[in-house]
Order: sequence, then structure tokens, then C-alpha cells
Amino acid sequence: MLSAGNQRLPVRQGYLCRSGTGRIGFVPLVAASAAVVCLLVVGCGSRDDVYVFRWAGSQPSQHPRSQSMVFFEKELERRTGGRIQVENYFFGVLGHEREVMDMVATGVLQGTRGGLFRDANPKYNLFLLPYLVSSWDEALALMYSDFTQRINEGACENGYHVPACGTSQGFRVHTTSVRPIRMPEDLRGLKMRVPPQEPILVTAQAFGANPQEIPFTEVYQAARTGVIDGQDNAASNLWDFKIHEVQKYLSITNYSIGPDPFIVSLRWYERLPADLQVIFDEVAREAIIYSDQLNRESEAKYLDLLSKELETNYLTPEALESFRELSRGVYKYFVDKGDLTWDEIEEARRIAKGN
Amino acid sequence: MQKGIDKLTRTLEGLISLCLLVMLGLIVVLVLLRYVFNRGLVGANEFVTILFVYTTAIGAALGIGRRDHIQIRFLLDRLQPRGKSALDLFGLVLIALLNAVMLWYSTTWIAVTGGYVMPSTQLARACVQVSVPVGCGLAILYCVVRIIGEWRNQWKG
Repeated sequence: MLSAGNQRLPVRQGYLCRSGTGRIGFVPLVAASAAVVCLLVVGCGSRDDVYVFRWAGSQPSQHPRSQSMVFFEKELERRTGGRIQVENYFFGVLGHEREVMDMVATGVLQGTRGGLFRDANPKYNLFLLPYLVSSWDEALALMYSDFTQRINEGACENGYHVPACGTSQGFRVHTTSVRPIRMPEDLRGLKMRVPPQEPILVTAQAFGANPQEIPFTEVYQAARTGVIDGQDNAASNLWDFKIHEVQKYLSITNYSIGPDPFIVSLRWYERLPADLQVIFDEVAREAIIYSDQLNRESEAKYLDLLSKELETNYLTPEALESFRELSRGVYKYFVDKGDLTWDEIEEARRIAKGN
Repeated sequence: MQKGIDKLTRTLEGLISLCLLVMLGLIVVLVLLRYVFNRGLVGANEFVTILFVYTTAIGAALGIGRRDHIQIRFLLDRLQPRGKSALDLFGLVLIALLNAVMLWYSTTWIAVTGGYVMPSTQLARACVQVSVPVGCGLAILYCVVRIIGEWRNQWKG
């Protein structure tokens, strides 16, 4: 029985079409549901010869990495005549780096670039070793070398395809709220924020700092409330996240520049026809080169902006030598652990120096 | 069967109480080290997170068993006992199904990404990820126990 006001109405067999009661009729309900299902089926259908490449990153859309992905999208769609459609997601809208990396591993997403490159190949940690390279020219010579290409190819064993690897943002510099870093001794006892990356953590320990693992998004508040005394990162990140507002000193230590491998789901890549694979790799390499170019051009600008806000110092040759000496302990740690060999480190340095 | 379930519940409650105690102890030590001794404990934060994940996964399953989970009872409270029971059974079946789906997908997730190591503790991520199928499995078990109980009480007897 249905009720309309105080009147009891009999339920009609088979369908309920009593619009005056405000209830939805059975037949319209079934028809609407069928229409929605049909629309979903049609909407979810896709052309067999069009491949969708969904990429996600955590940087804002104006960041060089994101800009290079916009370039990638336009170029790839143009050169493949729309046979590969690229969908870019910036600002971490699909999740933070850990989640996105898992999505690529499980095939939910097709690509990403970020700090969890160790999952693709632990050998990428080599690029984070302190003072492995000392300039942009050295860094790029190493990143575009056959040596790095071998590391890229090694990612296949872990289910990833890496067509190219560039540099991640720029050289890491230190900021503190306590004192400028002129010598390694100045870092002793300072609570320095480190990211969840083993080479940076071990480097902080080797330099005598007291490393504190904190996500970068929490650094501003941690520095403001005294949970950390300082941190290190690329200049563009410091400016974008307004770290200069909560720090006093900027020390240009330039101790490391991270890798930025273009990580792609191997399963998705292997489904592409051979001609599309060639175009995909070609455009990915160009996007990485474009990203490096943007990062290199913007680093000086960001350092200039930061030095107007913070008391800035560069390392003297003697200080640099002291830091390099301590860095050997970091190299030894990874060699002893079995992640890297002395031959690989020496080869990387030789390539960087152009020998 | 009820005795076995009671024993399992007591064991799980003891386990998550222990996890909470260790978490509390570690956090106190970390705060003291950071602010009094100006030191850090590498890997401790990661370990606290691991304990928290297990506490949540097991605690959620226990919550289902003890009816401690969040409920919106607006409709339920307006029904007759049998209607209430039917809706309860329907809800439990849905929760069990949802957990079964999560359990199924988590196995693929662990198989693909479980081998990667965590940066500080250097433990395989599978150590933490296993909490998902464990929590989901326990949730399904408690759903089944409650469905059987509800069935006996309202529909059979």
C-alpha cells in the first residue's frame, strides 16, 4: 500500500506510476536506468586504434616539469596524428608521488615523473650521490649518456619503460635559520629536513647533520615552529614553497642534482605498434631535454630571487674539498650495500667530465 | 565456534593495544630526542606509520565485529525488528563484498609493488601492504559471524 496524505492507495501490479505522490514510477525508473547504462556503455567505448596515455605529477602547472609535459602532449598528439592521446594531471590531483607510482606499476596510470625512481631501478640513486657532478654541463653529459641509457633499460626488469632521463629541477642548496653553512662543521647538530630518499639521508648524516624525515609540503610549518633548523632543495622548490619566509641563510652548496626519469608503464608501452613506440620515445627525449633547458634557465633567476630574501654565501674551494672528502663515506655506504660499484661511480664521473 | 571467535577477538585487541603502546613510547622518545637531546632516530617515523596502519586495519575489522563502526541509523530505527534485521544483514553482506573486492585487488597490488623497499627502515613494502588483505579478511570473517548470529536470532529461531 502507498499513502497519499491520509488516503491509502493500492499498489498497482507491475509498475508504480503515481507521480502525484512525488514517487518515481517503476517504468520510468527502469527506462532511465537502461538509458544511463546505455550511455555509460557508449561513453566508455573507445576506438581500438587510439591509445590513451595518462600522466600524473605533483608539481604545479607552471613548473618546468609540467611545462615539458604540455609540450609532450602537443607534440605526441601532432606527430601520431592523434593515435596517442595524452592526458596530463598536475598539482598531485591523482595522489602524491607514492600513490601515483603504484598506479603506474599496476597499470591504472601510464606515466609519471617524480622522486620515487628507485622503484624503477635502484641504480638511479647513483645520480644523487653528493658532488658526483659539479656543473650543469657535467650533469647533462651524464644524463644523456649511454651509461644512463643502460640504467633506463634496466627499469624494464621492474615493469617500467624509461625512454629518457634528465635532471630534476636543479642543484640542491642548503637553507637554515640558525647559521650559514660555510664548512661541514656548521651542519653539525642542526636538525635538517631530508626527503624519503636514502642517498640524501645518508649524505646528511655524513655531513654531521641531524636528519629529520618530513614531507616537503610540511617543511614550511616545521621550520616556522622550530621542528627543523634547515633543509636543502633545488632553488625553484624553495621559492615556489616560500621557504625563504621561514629561513635566514642560504648556502649555495650545490651538492647534488637528482635524476628525472620519464617513467612509463611497460605493459602499456608494449601494446603500442612499433611505429608509435619510436615516435613516443623520440618525443619523450625531446620533452626531457626541454625540461632540462627550462630548469637550467630558471635556476639563476630563482637563486637571484632567494638571495634578495636570505643572507647568501657560496662555498670556498677549501670548504668544497672538505664536503667532497666527507662524500666518500656516502659512496662507500652504497658500494658496501651492493647497490653500486666503484667502477660504476668512476665511469659516471669520467663521462660527466667528458673523458 | 563462538569460543574461537572470542579468543581471536581478545588476541587482536591485545595486539593492537600493544601496537598503540609501542607507538606512544616511540613518539615520546622521538619528541624527547628532537627537543631535549637534539637528535633523531632514523626510521622511527616510518615504524610508527607501519604500526598505525596495522592498528587501523585490524581495529576496523574489530569495529565491525563489535558494531562499533559509524552507523547512520535514521532508517534503521524506524523499522520493525524483522525489517531492521533484514537491513542489517544487507549492510553486512555489502561490507563483506566490499572487503572481498579490496582483498582481491590488494593481492595484485602487493605482487607488483610489494618488493620495493621503504627508504628509512629498508623493509619491503609488502610488510605494510599485507595489512590490507589481513584487515579485509578479518572484516569478512566478522561479517560472516554477525550474519550467522543475526540469522539465528531473527529468522531461524
